[in-house]
Amino acid sequence: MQGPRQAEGAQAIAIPGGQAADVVGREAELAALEAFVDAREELPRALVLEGEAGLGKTTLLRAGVEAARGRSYRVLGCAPGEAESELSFAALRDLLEGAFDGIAADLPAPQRRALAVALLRQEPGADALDPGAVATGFLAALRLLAAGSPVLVAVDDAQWLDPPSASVLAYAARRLRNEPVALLLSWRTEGAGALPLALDRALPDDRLQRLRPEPLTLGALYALLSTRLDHSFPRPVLVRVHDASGGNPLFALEIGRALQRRGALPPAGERLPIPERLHDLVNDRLATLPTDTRLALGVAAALSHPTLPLVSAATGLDAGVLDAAVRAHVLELDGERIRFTHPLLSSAAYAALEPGRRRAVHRRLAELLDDPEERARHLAPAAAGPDESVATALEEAARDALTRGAPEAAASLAEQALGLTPAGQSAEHARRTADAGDYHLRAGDTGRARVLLEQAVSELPRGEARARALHRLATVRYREESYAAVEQVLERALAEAEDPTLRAAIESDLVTSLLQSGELRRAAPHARAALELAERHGERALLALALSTAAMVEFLLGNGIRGELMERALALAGAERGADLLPALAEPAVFWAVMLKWADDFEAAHPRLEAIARRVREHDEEGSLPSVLFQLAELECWLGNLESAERYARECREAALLSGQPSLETHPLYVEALVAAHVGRVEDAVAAASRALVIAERVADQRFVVRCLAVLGFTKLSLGDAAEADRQLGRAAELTSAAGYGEPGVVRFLPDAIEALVLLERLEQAETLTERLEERGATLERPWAQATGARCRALLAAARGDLPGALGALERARAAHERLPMPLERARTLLVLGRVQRRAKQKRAARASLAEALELFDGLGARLWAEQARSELARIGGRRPASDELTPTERRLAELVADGRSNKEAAAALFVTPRTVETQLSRIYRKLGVRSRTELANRLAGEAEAGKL
Amino acid sequence: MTSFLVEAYTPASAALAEIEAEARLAAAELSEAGTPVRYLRSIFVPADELCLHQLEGPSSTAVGEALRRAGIAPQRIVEALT
Repeated sequence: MQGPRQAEGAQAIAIPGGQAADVVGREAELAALEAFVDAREELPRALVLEGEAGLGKTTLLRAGVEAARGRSYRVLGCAPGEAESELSFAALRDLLEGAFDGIAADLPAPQRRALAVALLRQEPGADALDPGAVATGFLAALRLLAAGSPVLVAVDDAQWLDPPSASVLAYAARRLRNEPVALLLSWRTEGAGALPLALDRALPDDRLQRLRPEPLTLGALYALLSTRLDHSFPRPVLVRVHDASGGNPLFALEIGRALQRRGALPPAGERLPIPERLHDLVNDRLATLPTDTRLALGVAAALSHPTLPLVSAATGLDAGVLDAAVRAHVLELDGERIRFTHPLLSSAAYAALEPGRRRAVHRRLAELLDDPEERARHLAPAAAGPDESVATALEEAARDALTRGAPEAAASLAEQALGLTPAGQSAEHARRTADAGDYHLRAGDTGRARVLLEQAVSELPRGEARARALHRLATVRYREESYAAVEQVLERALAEAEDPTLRAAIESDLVTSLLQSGELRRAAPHARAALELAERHGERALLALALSTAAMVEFLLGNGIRGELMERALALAGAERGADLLPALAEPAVFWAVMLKWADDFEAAHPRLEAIARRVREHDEEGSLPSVLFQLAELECWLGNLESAERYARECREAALLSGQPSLETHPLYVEALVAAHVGRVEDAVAAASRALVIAERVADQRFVVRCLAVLGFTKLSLGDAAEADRQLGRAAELTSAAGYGEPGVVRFLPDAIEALVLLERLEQAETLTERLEERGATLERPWAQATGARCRALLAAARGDLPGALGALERARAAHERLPMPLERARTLLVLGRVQRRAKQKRAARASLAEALELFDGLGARLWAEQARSELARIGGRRPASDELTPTERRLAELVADGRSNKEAAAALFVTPRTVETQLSRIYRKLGVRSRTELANRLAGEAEAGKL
Repeated sequence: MTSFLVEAYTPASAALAEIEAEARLAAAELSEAGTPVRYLRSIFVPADELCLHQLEGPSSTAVGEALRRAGIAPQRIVEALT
């Protein structure tokens, strides 16, 4: 009997180091490897040895490992074989074999537990282990190990990494920042293919090196053959071997061995014993071994971690039968551990077992092995055809793999169970199809999950099981970003679900989906239903979610913050939820922080959002990070901290990229547009917002559609283009009003929409919107809505010629601004105030208001708004602007005059009196140092030539 | 004295002049020690990473020994006529 796997691996596979001196003809490659491990100051970095079989990648990888050891790297190595490529976390176990015990105590408890379960050192609990916890655990372990000395993670034959280990490694690689960790991988590939572990996305180009060993030269091949085969071939034969092998060392050695076996060398002109395929050569080599040895080799090849006692127990033969294979350089022994000298030999040894014998071997191995997953892996090929008992064992093994946090393995086991389900067992078939779909979904393979779940839905009878499959299918659609379809599927699921917990989960997801597509009113009854069900039947996490979403729906509808719901939700926080529709961000704390922000309580919202961002960063959840960072960037923008907003926007972009979810790009694009719009970088703002708009529309994310329209409208308004601003903002207003938003904090574009309408003299429409804004501000006591509502009221009054009314409204606005730390909004109110005061002939007051507005705009770097304030100031006249540069109004006047307009014509064009034109013109003359219209025209023409205009 | 052709793997980056000097020196040392070996010439084929050396000596073993002293590992030593 084989003991637990960890005992078997006690001698640690690690990768044996190879002496560079034994490597022939690889000077360039060895130099590259030395340089790679020498670059200790430039870690993390990765080197991938790639190329076809037999090129010598393993030899080079071993030399690299040796070089790293010589430079006191800590080496974590694994060399997965084909047989273990399906065994969950097999590679991870080898990597951490000797290292885990040393750092286990320093790992946070959940990560330690997850790793221990994945490494088979601890039994899993009842619930599925979060694969994320294994990955974060491995990353934490790597960081701990790298704190002492640089770490080299070496993976030979990375193409055979089991998928759970590969996910964990890819996860860690993506998150390495400054840790002294080097990755050295060999990777069998034909042509220039993709990189393992998505390394091209994980590391910058200058930290990622691909090394494709060149074919050996004639001389190098010569040296290889004479040292390895202890035989020297005449040069003409050698030249033919070189040609036939294409410089592939393994191929050349096999040809050399075949020549040796023949004894006599072929006469010139006769064909060399070169079969079409390398496999045939390898088979020929195995064929020279005794029958018993070949059987033992086949058994060893079938095992993920072959050992002498296990092969002996499985074959009933003495372990000595393998000596012949060791002598023939087919095997290497490391204590009791068996390793094939080349993976091709392992494949060939396995393939050489005839089918009946192969099934018997697997049956025997299934009896000998303890681990349920490994047993199941042998039971499947042991079955001659569909077999219910084997399918049941595989189904159980799949569940077991899921509890170990290996959904990839669970999915592949479930698929095998499905394949072995006898015809006619339709209930089992449908159930296993649904399970396999669920596991694929958890493993992140939404494509395969969709196929299986759709099939399960068509196979299952109406009822609970189908409702579950539909619920899963909705999650797939959500992840695939076809939101429109999600709702429909969830409605179907709801119609068939009876279990109250399932119903509560479906209702909650329905709310999320409806909110996303802007169906706030339709979301409300579902939010209430979800809450009711969760209150009675739900687990803590579900209840917390139902409470939060119900509170959010009420809030968005304009019913204010439902403190009693949120308090309960926050008290339940900390519970975990499985692979359902909502991302990890569906925590009450997030709902709470966002509500506070929308309700103008920035002081409370800011630290909460920052704390959430910190936590999400620590857990490396890129998928959730963009959502938090965009909220923070937007808030910083509102608060006038544009540099900080820009920083968050940058981090948001990085996180969105890392998440690999294309739709998340809306987040950084939107905040980038928002920052650009604030500082008057019009082109950047329009480009980013337009791009985000396209994405948001494609995925039917109405919230971002509205946000993008809002930035576009704001940008146009900054430029004074009311018609274009209205086109964007009018659409945003239509969408949000149809959705039923009653909370002013989520429709912050409304004052801009109103301002555009006033400029376009569509006063009735502006009036309706203003009334709504004022009413909401008063009812909900929101300072922002009160301030901007009063400003809009002033714009309306001024447009109707009611200057006293406008001034009164602006006083109310100023009072509200005292409770609102939004400098841009404040400055915009002051700008309006200055304009109205100017028109009311209160020159001194107007100048003071405009100067204050200008100072605020300048302080924010809000260039376009500052220009508006300057130009207003200039219209008042009197005090000279600080610099000798022309103000925008002066510039326009100068251009009109230089263009040959009379003072009267220019006055008409600028809506001022001819007298004002005279005054301004004399100031322009003074500033530019000119004395006549002709000189002015010449001067402007000269500036234009010099590129100043 | 018999003439021998020796074939040896030589990295493309190697310098022929150094190889010749080493081989000549090693042959002279061996001769002084009582085994008369004479180095004649080398032909270096960088594209094949192969160097062909021509030496005279009493046996292939003696010639091989001379080259090994020069840090050259012969793959094949055969009699050669020029």
